[in-house]
Amino acid sequence: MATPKPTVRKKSLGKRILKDLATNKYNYLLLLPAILYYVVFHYFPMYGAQIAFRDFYITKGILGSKWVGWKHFQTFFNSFYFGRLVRNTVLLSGYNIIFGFPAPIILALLLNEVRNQAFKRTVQTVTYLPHFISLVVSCGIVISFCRLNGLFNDIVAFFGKERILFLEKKEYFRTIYIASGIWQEVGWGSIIYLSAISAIDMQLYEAARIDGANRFQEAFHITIPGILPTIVILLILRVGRLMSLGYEKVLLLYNDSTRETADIISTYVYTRGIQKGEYSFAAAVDLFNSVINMVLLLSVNWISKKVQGSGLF
Amino acid sequence: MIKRSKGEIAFNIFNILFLTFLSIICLYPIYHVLMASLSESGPLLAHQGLLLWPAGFSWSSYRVIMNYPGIWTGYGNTLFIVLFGTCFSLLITTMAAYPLSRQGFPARNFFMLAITFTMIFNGGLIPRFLVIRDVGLYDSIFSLIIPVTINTTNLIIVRTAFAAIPPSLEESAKIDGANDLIIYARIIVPLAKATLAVIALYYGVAYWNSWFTASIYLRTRTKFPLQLILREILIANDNNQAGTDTELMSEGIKYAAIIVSTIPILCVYPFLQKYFVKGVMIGAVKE
Amino acid sequence: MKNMKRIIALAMVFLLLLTSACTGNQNSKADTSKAESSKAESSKADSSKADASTPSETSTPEEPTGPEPYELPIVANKVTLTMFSVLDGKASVSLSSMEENFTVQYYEELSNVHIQFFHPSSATSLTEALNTMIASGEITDIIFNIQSATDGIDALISNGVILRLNELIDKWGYYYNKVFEENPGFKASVTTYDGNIGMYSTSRLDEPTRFFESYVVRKDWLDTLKIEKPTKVDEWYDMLTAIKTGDPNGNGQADELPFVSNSNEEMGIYRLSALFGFNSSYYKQMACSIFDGKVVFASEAPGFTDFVTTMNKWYAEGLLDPETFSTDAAGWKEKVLTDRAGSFYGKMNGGIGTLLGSYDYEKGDPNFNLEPMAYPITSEGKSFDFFSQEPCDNGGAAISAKCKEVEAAVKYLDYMYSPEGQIMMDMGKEGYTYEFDSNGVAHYTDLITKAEGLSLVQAIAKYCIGGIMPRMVNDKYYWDAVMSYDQQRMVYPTVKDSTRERKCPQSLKYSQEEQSRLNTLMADIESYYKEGMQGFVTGAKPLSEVEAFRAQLKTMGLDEAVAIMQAAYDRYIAA
Repeated sequence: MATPKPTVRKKSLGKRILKDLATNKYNYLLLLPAILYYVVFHYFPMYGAQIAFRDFYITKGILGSKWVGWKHFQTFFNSFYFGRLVRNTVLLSGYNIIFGFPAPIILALLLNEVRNQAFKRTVQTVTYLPHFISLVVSCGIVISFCRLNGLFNDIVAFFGKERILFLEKKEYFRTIYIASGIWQEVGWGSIIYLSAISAIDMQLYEAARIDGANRFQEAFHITIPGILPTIVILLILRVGRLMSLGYEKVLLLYNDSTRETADIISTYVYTRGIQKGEYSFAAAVDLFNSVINMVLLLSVNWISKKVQGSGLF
Repeated sequence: MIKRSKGEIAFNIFNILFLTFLSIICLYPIYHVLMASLSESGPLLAHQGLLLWPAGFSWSSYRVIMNYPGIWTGYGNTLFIVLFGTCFSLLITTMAAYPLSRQGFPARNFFMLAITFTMIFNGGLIPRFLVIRDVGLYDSIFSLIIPVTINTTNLIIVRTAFAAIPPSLEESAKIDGANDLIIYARIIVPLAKATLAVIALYYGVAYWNSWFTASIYLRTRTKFPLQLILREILIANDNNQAGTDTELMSEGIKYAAIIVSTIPILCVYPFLQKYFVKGVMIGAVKE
Repeated sequence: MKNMKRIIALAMVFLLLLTSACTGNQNSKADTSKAESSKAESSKADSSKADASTPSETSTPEEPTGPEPYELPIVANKVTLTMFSVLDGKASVSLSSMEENFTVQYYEELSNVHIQFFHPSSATSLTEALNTMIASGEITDIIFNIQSATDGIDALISNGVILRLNELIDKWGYYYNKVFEENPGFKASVTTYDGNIGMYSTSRLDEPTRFFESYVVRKDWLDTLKIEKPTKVDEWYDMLTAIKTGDPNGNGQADELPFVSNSNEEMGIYRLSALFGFNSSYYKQMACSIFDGKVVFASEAPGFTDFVTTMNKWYAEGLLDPETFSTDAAGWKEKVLTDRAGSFYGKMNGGIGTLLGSYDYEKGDPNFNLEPMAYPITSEGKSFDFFSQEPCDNGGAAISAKCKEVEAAVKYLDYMYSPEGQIMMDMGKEGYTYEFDSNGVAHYTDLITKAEGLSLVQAIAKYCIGGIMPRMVNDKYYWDAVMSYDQQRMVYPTVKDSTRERKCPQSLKYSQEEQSRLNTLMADIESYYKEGMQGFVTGAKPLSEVEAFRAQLKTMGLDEAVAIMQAAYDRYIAA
């Protein structure tokens, strides 16, 4: 992967690199600031990941802290909750992708079918508003709706059913989490697809209309293929973060009764690693997540290349 | 005018209804926040159900916010960070995305892999903090910009957009003697305007909303951005422990703080919107 | 004019100092024998632990007299010290730094010590802020909230981050030393596993300031129902049932929630285990109680089965809020303010005042009344308190090993423990921010009580250091001013007579290894314990599984964890 494919067999590697530098000098020039940025702010601090294998004490520094090998990984793997945490993380994150990922695409397609520009712009602007409400407040609203005397239970009661303890039933947690996520992010997420749709060559639509295609056929044969590269790239990136689901929202929504389905790796690390300052333990779990994410990302990328011929790399 | 089938009409009606419904439920949270910010604290605490009108009308929350130390310097700092940061990030990101999108650039896969790697692996907070201190950014407002110049997801999106531009344009320019710098600036960037508008929005909003880096890398309170001040207000008001010895500021204050700190960035969107609605508009005109 | 005031103030302080110095000496003489014996204890540790970070001249031979009294100003020429300290939300409404605080400036005037504050952002955790500061090596001279750093005091001292204070207190810490002498056990509470004193601990020296939590009941409902506050467990049951069925809110519906709690464990039903003579609250000493010198985890306590069975029954009968485990603070408050909550566990020092205030405000209902209830008498004939505070807090201020003005730093903190310092910190300057009435009771002046646009606590935080950092002692004057309702003040007499014999002390000391082992073991135990409790109470888990639950906790290493705590407790008792 690291070296460019040899174009001329007999030249040495050094010469080839020099030639590449010469022919692509402007490319490297353009790339230079980014390379600097990644090296300084991303690669250089990466030595810090080794604290996963040490008993890190701030006062002793990274290199001064004792090397303990796989100890923290073992603590994590041997935890009573390890299986449950992995299962919950994969399920919550997986459902979140299955339901949450297509939602903005569908919204973008629906918006694209709206002919009234004023209406379209209004819907677009309004649906993206919830993104700006901080999680603390939006989860507060969700919780107040889910209470026994909240809006949802008023609706339930209106239909003559018994009021439900939504927040204390473990089977509702994922639904609440994912539905509220869609509610908050669908408009914001659709922006990128709308822009991708706008970049599709209008001539394609005209040609299709001349061929007698209706709007559904246009959507399926022109719009969706047109935005497919964007969809694929975003999906790859999303799957590559399967294990790293943020803790903040789960912490705001869960409680002791729903923890059986709600407790995920990041909340576990947060309550135990971050709050109590067990940096090494948190780093070990992070590393475990990263390795799985990397494997997933490479696999999805490979599949994407096989199926549609392009991927991230 | 194209003749519409029954199916299309039914779909149109469904579509309009659905989108209207979606708009209403998406409008509610911000409406709720607005009404709560205009409420009095006692009635607001006792309120149940949907908040359609302020619970006891009062401007007092806004009065407190406007006098809160740091709000106005925070505005200034945030404005600078958003304006400078977005331009800087867009420049560096597009510069990097161009070579990475070129088929003829052999090292691109290597760089892409190396860049994606950083999305997944990181060294943790403290080593990062030490690097920022060592390069002299600690307690500088630039510590909120330089260390987050490129968002890798954004870079990948821009690269995808650049790659979608037909190579024929580039080739003809090359024949005319243009080098890569010229192709980047004169052809690729203008053609990807729709995507760049979105990326500008992403960067702008990210800079506007960022507070965590500021809470770690800044020491001087006069350099705090608006969102950090807001966050502190939210936390001071987040009385999780109903009845600790912190007497509450009026509950409405946190809502007023959200309104004060979100309205400006909300206004940016309609201006950017035109860049990627335009494509469709042109089509509509042609129709 | 201004100078005149200043001179008078200084003269007064001087006088006060003199008198207190005299009485102080008497006290110290009376306590010499005690002091000596405790010194002899600690001297073993002292001599073995004296390390390089201690300035050599401080290793003085044992002197029975202890530190010398001193006078303000602390230093002849102005010095500047840097200080890490949080900017409280109550202060940040009007100040952008504590340097603008009136009392900080006043203290500077008196002491010649200028403080340059470093306030971490409250948006990040204190732990994070402290850890990054320590990692960066740029450490302020005085570090408040040092207990929040990840590394313990011993590690911070042995790695040269902060100073060991034992010898420095012996040399300069006149008032802190006096606290040691006057409060047996205080010195032991601030001394670490390795025998170090690493910080000036914040404290609650005045007894009433340690009692502010209790059960709270709608007294007006009890009056309507014509029942008394319950003192025994079965009376509790009768009261809750009466609230449930007697419609005390008079709206014709049985919508009353006799006991409401909040998903936050601090306010949850865990606090009801005091009815059964043990502590089940993980938040307090990891759900441990002391039975005859033995540390006992909640699930092993004699009353445990009784407790969960009763809670299960009460929950099923609707005596406990059905949303017990999911109500957030906002929902909890809404229930109280919409006339549905009958009783709950609360802190009387602020939150209840807010509730009383909000309710008055909205409904103008003069009858709305919340009063504290005593811890009930259990079947053993005693009433147990597990939740009051101890004289010595776990937190405090340390002095950086890089500090150049160690004497000034020690005395700056130490003076806060003097009688004059205590009142100055909480009340400010006499004649300006407070005045004594004819009974010798200090009151805030109108400057504070009538401050424009600020609530009382916010105004106090603007002018004084009452209730916020950086101060050392929770002063009773501040307490009196903040407890603005009589019902709030009732809490101390209501709960003070309960026995604390089963309360696990809050300052057990662990070695670094013990602490990390305990953290590892308890992490999963805590989750399992709380989930189990929730299951038993709501009925999601059948009560027949209590035995299996206990056994599972044991396989998770409960015995080892309790043994660690037991060892620490034995050391605590021996000290």
